[in-house]
Order: sequence, then C-alpha cells, then structure tokens
Amino acid sequence: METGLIILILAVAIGLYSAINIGANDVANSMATSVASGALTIKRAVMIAAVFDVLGAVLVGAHVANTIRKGLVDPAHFVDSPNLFMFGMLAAVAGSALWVNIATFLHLPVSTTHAIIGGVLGFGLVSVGASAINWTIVGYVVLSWIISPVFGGVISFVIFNIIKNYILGSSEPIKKTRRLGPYFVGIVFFVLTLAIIYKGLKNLHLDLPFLEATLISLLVGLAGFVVGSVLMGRYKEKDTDPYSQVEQLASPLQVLTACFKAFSHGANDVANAIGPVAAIVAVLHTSQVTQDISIPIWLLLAGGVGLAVGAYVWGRGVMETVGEKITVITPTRGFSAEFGTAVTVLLCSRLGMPVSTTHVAVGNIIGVGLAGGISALNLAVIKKIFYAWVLSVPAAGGFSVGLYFLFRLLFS
Amino acid sequence: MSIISKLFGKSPFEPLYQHMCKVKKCVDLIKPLMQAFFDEDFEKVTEITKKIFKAEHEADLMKKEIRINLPKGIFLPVARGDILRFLKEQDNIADATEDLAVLLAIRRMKVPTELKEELHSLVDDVIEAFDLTMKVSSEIKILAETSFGGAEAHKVMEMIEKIKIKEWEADKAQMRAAQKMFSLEDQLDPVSVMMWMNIFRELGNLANHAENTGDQLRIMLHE
Repeated sequence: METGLIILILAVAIGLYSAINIGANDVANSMATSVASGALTIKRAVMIAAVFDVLGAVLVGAHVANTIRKGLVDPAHFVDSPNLFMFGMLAAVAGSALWVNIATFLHLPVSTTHAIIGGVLGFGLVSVGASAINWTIVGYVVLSWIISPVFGGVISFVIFNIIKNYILGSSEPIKKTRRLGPYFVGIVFFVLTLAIIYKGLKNLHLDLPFLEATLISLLVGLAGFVVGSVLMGRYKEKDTDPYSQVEQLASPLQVLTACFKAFSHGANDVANAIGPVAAIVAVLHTSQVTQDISIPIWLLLAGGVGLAVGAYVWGRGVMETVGEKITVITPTRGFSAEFGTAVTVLLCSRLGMPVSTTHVAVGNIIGVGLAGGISALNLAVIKKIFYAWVLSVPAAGGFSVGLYFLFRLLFS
Repeated sequence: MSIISKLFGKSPFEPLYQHMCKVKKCVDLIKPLMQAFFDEDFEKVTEITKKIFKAEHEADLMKKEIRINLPKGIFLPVARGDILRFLKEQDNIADATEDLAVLLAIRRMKVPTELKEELHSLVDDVIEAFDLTMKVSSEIKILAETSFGGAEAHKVMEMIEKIKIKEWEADKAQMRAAQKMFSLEDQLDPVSVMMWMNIFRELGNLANHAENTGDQLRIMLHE
C-alpha cells in the first residue's frame, strides 16, 4: 500500500510537529503560575513539564485520542473507502496545525483542542455529510468546554477558601499549614494513582477493577500523607513574617500540583496531535476502518516525547515572556489554581473529553480570584477566550476541508 | 499572546503603600516647617513649603497612576470603590499638609511665646495620629495576602482604634490651643486671630483625614 505508507509518514510527521507546537506553547500556560510564584525556576518547570507530559500521554492519553480517532466521525461510514478516511484524518491534523500556526502569528489566543475538533468535523461534513458525525458526542465535547473551566473554578474557589479560612485567617498560620499540608499531598497522590490504575493501564495489560484500584490508591495517598507530614514536620519556624513562611511551606505543594498538572496536560492534549494519526494507523494495520484496536503505545510515547521536546526546546522562551508579566501570585494561590486544573483536566481525560488546559487554568485562576486570592483580575479575557473558540472550530474546519480535497486530488 | 498573563492585572496594594510613603514625605516636613515658623524664619518656611508642594504633586501623580490601573472591568478582592476612597483619604492628608504650609507661608506672623507649648502639643498629636495611620497603611500588603480577613484583619482593626483615640486627643489639643489663643486676644490683631483659627483647623483636618484613612481601610476588612 504505497499511498498508505506516504500518508502514514506524513501523518506522523505532522502529528509530531503538532505535538512539539503544543508542548512549546502550552507549557508556558500550564507552568506560568509555578514560575511566577517562584516555586519553580523556568528550567525546572520545563523539565517537569517534559517528564510528566510524557507520563500522562502514555498512561492516560488513549481516552481522548479515541474520541478524536473514532468518537466524533464514525469510521463505519468509510468501510468502502478507507482511503478517504485516511485523507480526512490527515487533513484534520494538518489543517488544525496550520490554523494554530496562523493564529499564533496573528496573536490570537487559540487552543489546539478546539482546532483539532474543528478539523475532524470539517472533513466529516464534506466527505460524508452531517450524518457521519456523532452529534451527541460533539454536544458532550462542546458542553465539556463550558463546564470544565467552571468546574475547575469551583474546585479552586473551595480550596482557596479552605486555605484562607483555616490557614491565612488563623493566628498561628504556620502550625495550621503543617497540619493541613499533608492532607493535600495525600489527596494529590490518591487522585493521580486512581486515574492511572483504574481502567487506565490497558496498554500495560494491568486492568484493575474499581475496588482494588481504590484501595491501592488510598494506600498510595496515605503514603503521600505520611511523607508530607514528615517533611512538613521538619520545618523550623522562624521569627520573620508568618505569611511569607506559609508561602514557603506551600511552595513544594505547588511543585507537586505542577507535576500533576503537566501529567493531566499530557493525558489530554497528546490526543490533539496523535488522535488522527492513530486513526490512520488503525486503518493501515487492518486495512479496514471499523476494526477496534487500541492505540499503540509507541504512538502515545511519540506524542508525549513530541510534547516534551517542544516544552524543553521552545517552552523556555515562551515561559520567560509569560512569567515576566505575572507579578501577583503566591504558592498558596498557585496551588489552589493548579490543583483544580489538574483534577478537572484529568477527569475530562478519563471521560474522553478533549478540553483546553489553558481555558481550564483560566477558570481556576478566576475561582481563586473570586475567593479573594488575586490582587487584580482582568476579566475581559473571558470574552477573548469565547471568541477564540467560536472562531477556532470553523477556521480549523475550513483548512481541514481544503486539505481534504487537495489530498484526494493528489493521491487518487 | 498568553491568556494567562493577560488575566492578571496590576495589583493596587503595593502602589497604595508607596503612595502613603509619599504622603509621609509631606507630613515629615511639618515639624521642620513649624520650627521655622516659630523661629520666624520666613525664608525657611517658604523653602520647606516648596518641598511640600513637590512631594504633594508627586503623590498626586501616583494617585493618578493607581486610578489608571484600576479600570472598571477589573476584579479585586475588595470593592474597587473602597480602594479608590481609601486612596483619596490618603491623598487628602497630603492636601491638608499642603494647605497648612500655604497658611504658614502667606503671612509673616509673630508666634506668642505663651502659645508655643499648646501649638507643639497639637502638632505632636496630629503627627502621632498620622504615624499610626502610616503603620496601618503599611499592613495593606499583608492584608492582601490574607485576603482581608482573619487574625491579621483583627490586628489592623485594633491599630485603627488607636488612630481614633489619637485623633480625639488631637481634637482636645486643638481646643486647648484655640482657648489659649483667645486668652491672648487682646495682644493679637483680628487678622492674626483669623489666621490662627485657620492654622488650628488645618492641623485638625490632617488628623481627621488620618482617621478617615483608617476608617476607609476598616470597611475593606471582614471578620
């Protein structure tokens, strides 16, 4: 299958390019709050992003990738013409990459998530028609775009309120931090472990039922609690301003949530780059479109490495410009925001919902702001986000349609 | 291009404190100004008045800058109006200082020896009231860190109570000074009496604005 091989090479190349792009741009957004608060240096943030993005992509990345591969446009419509399906998926990934590049050039805040969904829908509409598209899933996806920032915002709002009332409002804030901190560590470990091991390790042939997975996660969470207690117990109180000491204690917590956030980011956003590639691989593997095979781990790994390379090589520069602009965030705020983002994005990843990590992060920061944690918030940004995704879906869809016709002309 | 960095506005709290530091620069000149006035060194009075003008103008510029950075759409942990009124009250202290300097600089006056003690005591009380307000204003960054509530807010509330007591003492000192001045009215010409009343009133005003600054901050706090 000569054509198929060319398409595969093209798809992998564009997918990798896309992954590198996502890594380079998104890492700044997802790590900015950690760098701004001083919890992480730019170098460390980039390293954490690289490592945990790969882990998230490999361990949890398949769910969202499957939604993009076969959830939105039903491959069953292409049983007789598997080539068209491959052209379409190639057009989708190429079209969205093209749009994201143009948007970046035009300084528009777009999300690759919205672009890839637009791309897949675009080719689906012109190749078969509206009937090819699973509108229920499209509905869920659009709903998840609205719900995820709100949901994340509520989590961050609640967490910051707890920190505010229990720690910052107390007359002995350092003691309270040492008491509350280990719980946060335990919860992060519990949620992360549960997300990975519950039905998550199909690729490693380790598929645990709910009860076992919960028990193991609880044990890991408990271990996290103990480690957190020991580490926080070692801290010696100083005579200086207690609130800056609270921030100092919260700093490692924020590093922990930064890792968690990078993991969630990898789990969700790797799909934007490799979802369509996975669809093409599946067709080539079986010579038909309907066969349900799981996404090969090499592809997830390649996507994850692409994210990491982008983050490592170009993320630094982007981060410097973002980090300089943010002046007013401290580890307690950063922790509250990032924890909410990480949990929300990870949850969406497990549900197969492709969401924008950046938009969820915006929702979380607003949540902390509404709880009184941010000195000045510019809410006009929300409008920009709305425009960006209203524009992104049709724009990327348009590019995808154009490329679809081009590929069909070239290859057949 | 990053949305995240655009989401963060410029925090008004550090600039508010910086503005108060500029106000302090004005108020710190009151003692040397009064000393020159007592010594009837009219040149020196004019020179210090110029310095106060300069500092007051700088405070004004800072006030403007803070206002520009607080556009209507911005979301803050406390009401935007409260912050702007707090800023206004801080600025009123600088304005009152300037008005006082003008009063001392526009007319060559003799200071009756019998009045000096009362005047010193009044100036001291007013400046002490201001110093307490300065302390309260310097807590504003920590208040932002604790989100204007809890133990820190309680501490600041107690500090604000102290300003109130000092302001009340300044009021009494103002009355004593006026009583003393009128006990000497036979030696004073009517214009001097008018001038003295205005000088006392302006000193009293300064203490009032110091108190109002505290009160305005009190409104931002919650239990």
